[in-house]
Amino acid sequence: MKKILFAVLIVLLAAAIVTSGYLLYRNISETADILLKQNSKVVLYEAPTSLKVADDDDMITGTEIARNMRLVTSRDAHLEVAGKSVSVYETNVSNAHQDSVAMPPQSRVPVAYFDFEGRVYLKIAMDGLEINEVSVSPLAYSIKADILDDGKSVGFWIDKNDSYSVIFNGNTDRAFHIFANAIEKEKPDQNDENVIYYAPGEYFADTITLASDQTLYVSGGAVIHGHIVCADVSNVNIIGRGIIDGSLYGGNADDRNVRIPLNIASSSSVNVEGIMLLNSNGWVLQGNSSSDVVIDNVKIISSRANGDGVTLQSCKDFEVKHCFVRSWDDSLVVKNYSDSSENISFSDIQIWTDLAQSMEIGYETNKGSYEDSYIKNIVFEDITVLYNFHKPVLSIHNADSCLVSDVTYENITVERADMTWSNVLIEMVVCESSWSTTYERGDIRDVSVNGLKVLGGDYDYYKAVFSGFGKDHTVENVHLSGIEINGTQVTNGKSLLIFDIESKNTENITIGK
Amino acid sequence: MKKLLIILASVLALLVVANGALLIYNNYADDGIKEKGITSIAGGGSDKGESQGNIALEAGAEATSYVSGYSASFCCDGYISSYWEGTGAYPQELKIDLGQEKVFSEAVVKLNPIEAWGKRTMSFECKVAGDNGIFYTVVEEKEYVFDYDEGNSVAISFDSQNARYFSLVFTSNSGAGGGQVAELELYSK
Repeated sequence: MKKILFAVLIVLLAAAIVTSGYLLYRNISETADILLKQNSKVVLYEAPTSLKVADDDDMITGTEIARNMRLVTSRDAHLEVAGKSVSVYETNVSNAHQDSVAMPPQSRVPVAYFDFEGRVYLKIAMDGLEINEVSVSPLAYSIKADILDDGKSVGFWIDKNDSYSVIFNGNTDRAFHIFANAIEKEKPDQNDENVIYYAPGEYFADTITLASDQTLYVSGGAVIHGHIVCADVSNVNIIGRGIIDGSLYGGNADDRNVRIPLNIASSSSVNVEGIMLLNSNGWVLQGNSSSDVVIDNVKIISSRANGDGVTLQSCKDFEVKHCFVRSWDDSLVVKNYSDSSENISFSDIQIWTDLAQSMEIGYETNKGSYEDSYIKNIVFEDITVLYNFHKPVLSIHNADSCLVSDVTYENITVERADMTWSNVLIEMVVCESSWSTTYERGDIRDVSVNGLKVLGGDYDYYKAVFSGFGKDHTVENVHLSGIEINGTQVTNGKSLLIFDIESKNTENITIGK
Repeated sequence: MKKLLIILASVLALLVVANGALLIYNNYADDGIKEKGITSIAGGGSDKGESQGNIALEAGAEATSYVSGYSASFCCDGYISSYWEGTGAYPQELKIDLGQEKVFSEAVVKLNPIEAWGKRTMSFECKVAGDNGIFYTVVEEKEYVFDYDEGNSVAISFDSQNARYFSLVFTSNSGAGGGQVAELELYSK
């Protein structure tokens, strides 16, 4: 009897051991596939089913006459988040980094977005591209991306809500822009009469004009072909995760009737959060004579002429934060078209400037010819310039009668300074230009650059240019500190960052540790 | 022997408990991967409008003239925002090619239905041709009013045609310098 019992126990034990082995194996293999950490969450938005999938004609590089500009979904680029497929769009960019032309060549890059919290695994596949090298920006996150499937795909983890640009084989032509938003806290009530609600889908809305106290909600998964106008309004919200698309509007191929995707004019108390602005046929996000405005987590990509990213004229108390701006013209801009500008901050922003300057004050600093015009208390803080392809990174071009003062640049990182125009990294000048309106000139006062790191670029050294105008219009009190070029701290203006100073109209321009 | 049996039984019991725990954990992990934590929002459709049964959608199109950036192809692309606009002296002809002979008895000519497209009157005639490309008139030249309040759209009915080509020959437009068509749709009614 004992022998039988013993035999049964042995058999049961063997079965239990085999089962344990199987379960352990399964557990280990499943663990390798756990692409979403416990307690993490992901929200994915499928693209409108009516959007065309890109074909060969959509993917050629040419002017807007040579090919269709229409926003399409990707055929070749694929993104999985936590093992789930995410819609990928092909939006237009221009990789022409030379002088501005009316119709720059257009090509496309993949773009995708989703919301998440916690930690999540991303896997990208690029059909037809053998991936030998991959990098993920911002480099500050030190994201290690693995090349998988014999170079057909890459994978990496992210744990921060931010924008990520994936570069394959050191070539930016097919950079993949991924916008990993925070999960929306609350959505407006679509039955509220003050809410204009766009659910997922494709809309041919053209002009969306908002009235005071209205909320425009652009749901994730919505693509609105159109543009938004806020004129003489207050207490307006523009929120969501969806796309405002200008690809159906002609640019310089036709009458160039510019439809600025988001135009905030003579308005106050405007809150913009989470949306994406693609394919503009001119400036992208304009603030004009407006105050008490917050722009948060807005993603911008432009490719056509005059495609300035965020451009503010005569605005006060204006906050732009947590944004991504890739533009074919100046990325962040402050000007005076009428009254003065004051208390404007740009913080925690990623910039990719395909043409012109990354952070520009000017040239039009008093286009309205106002008396005692000024631009003051302007802050650029925690800015990462992924690529600066053309002109200076930091620039003040005071080309009218205006006092530009109290400008702060704090913690600026330039991952690549590949300027085709010259090696001028900083340019602060009082000048006359084709954009000047006033006969009189102004001055530049009290500028500080606290922390400017250039991690790489086409040049061994860069220039910082400071010049007033004549004898009477000066640049004074400019202090640079924490400057680092290619890993070396800059302690004087004689190497790595060489000062080019017009001595007769500049004063107290210093550099320190 | 008895001790050995007890030990074996104990090990077995432990393994069963451990397996149970692993099974529960794996199931939970499965839920985490495939279900828990991931929300997928389904894609929506389009507000492109009624094009059901429109046999001219994505037909080939050409015109005797067009304003740069407003080529003929925009009249059959299904997008009401894009449009063809003729230029130069009248008459201006906009012609579409269905690829093969098809039956239709109604043409719908649309402009962008937004208010910015103010009321206008256009004059044109409608012509058709079979595979041989020889055109004849199905609707004589006539004035048509395009009014924002009425959807900026005009429907033109005619005797049923079995034709490959359809054309509009414009002779005036009170709202622009040339003929304009955002969408030209053909239906069999």
